[in-house]
Amino acid sequence: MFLPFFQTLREEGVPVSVREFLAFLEAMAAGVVFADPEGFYHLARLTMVKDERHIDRFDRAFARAFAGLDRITPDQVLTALDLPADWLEKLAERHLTAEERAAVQALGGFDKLMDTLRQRLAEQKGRHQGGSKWIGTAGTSPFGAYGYNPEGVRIGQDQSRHQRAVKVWDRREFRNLDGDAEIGTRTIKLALRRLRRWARDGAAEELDLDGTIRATAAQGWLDVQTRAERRNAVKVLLLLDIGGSMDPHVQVMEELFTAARAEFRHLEVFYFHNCIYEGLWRDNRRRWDAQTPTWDLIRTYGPDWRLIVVGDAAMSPYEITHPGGANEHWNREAGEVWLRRIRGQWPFNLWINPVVEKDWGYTRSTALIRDIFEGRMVPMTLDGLARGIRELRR
Amino acid sequence: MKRFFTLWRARPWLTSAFVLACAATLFFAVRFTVQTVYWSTHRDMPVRSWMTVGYVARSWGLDGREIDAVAGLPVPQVKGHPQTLAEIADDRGVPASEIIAKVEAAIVTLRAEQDAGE
Repeated sequence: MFLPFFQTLREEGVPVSVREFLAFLEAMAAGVVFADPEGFYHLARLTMVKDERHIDRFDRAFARAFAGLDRITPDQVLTALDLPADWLEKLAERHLTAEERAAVQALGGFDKLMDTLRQRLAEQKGRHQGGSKWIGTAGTSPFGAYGYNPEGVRIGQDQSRHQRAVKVWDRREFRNLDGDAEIGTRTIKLALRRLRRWARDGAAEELDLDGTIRATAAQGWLDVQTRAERRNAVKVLLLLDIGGSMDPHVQVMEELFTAARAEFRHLEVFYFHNCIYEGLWRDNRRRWDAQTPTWDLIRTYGPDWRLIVVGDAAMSPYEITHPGGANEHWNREAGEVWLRRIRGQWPFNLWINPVVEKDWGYTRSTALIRDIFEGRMVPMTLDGLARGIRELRR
Repeated sequence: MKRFFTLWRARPWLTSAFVLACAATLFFAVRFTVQTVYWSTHRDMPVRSWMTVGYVARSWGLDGREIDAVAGLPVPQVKGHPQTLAEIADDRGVPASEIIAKVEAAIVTLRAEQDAGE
């Protein structure tokens, strides 16, 4: 019965295994949820989604697999199932609260509710809005859409407004956590966190509780021990492409910069335009009169620094392959020479490209830089960053 | 050892039969132990293209021929030996993932039937 749902999940890219799907079926067979769309959604998500990055894909698959299901009337379901009335009444007694039963009774019982709906549909000819009787929009009748009635039947409305006819999956609250989605400062921080390498350095200012207990027990008097604070020892050299085709990516660059600043104690940031040549700069307003020679960087920062270059790699191919190809100045050595030089100095290197990965093939220069970086180019997505961080840790 | 040869000279047929019985017992005991250990750690294995239907059936505790029937796959006799899912896909000119999906759907169906029958 749920096989199409399983297939839809796979098609949407949710890595659900047969075992997980069988666990979900077992839970359904055991009656963990019954006649509760939201409960059903949560049970399916709980059993089949292992990673928060896949929740949004799950929501999309769920919406696709069960599209239109909420438009099937209880009457149609009951007719199709041909269930005995007394059995249904017993079931209702078990699953409905006293208030819910009273609300249904307020309309003269379930049969009456359905009869009234059928009758009003037959009587009503045109569209109706407001009021408390006719089926339409924005009213308080138990039938219709965009209105309010606690025991209502929704007709002709795509999404829930009062969350009574619930479609949680339509809210897509986990959209930002999708591995392929564009990311924000928080998610970048989460990704960068994987690059942590803890080390204790600096002055011993932190209370060492374990050491204090051990020393006190050994000495017989209170012997307070301190130690150096634990810090992220990873050193990062961040080179950011700025201006021109990078302008549309300013926001995501800012977010990356903010996240990197918060995450790495040893962080040096330099800017370049399009490709790296003989000079980089720290302050973009003084890009012409306060450049730092790239050779100085190579001499100053050792091979233990991680090099992260962020740029869209979109430029004329001559800017990479030919001396004098740069579009703002005369470069004596080709961009490729400098790129290979910095890669040689910092073996842990990575190029992050904010352009969507599927568009990389349209730009020749992107392919060139990707080759120079031996494939170590990743998109600015959560998945891409995670992949890149893995490369940086090797 | 000397005793064994003495016995063998005195009752060659009986001793040979005894040795054969011992060898067979040892063979089946080893096979049983290896299979028990192997399959206890390979239950409900994710379906992969290198697997045969028999392997999948064994791993999931199902009947291989039923999987063949539900998934619409050829029985092993077609080629005289069991085919892997990749070979079946090659024969049909479809991606292996398509055959894997069919086998997975068959597993779900058969397991659901099995559970319903319990």
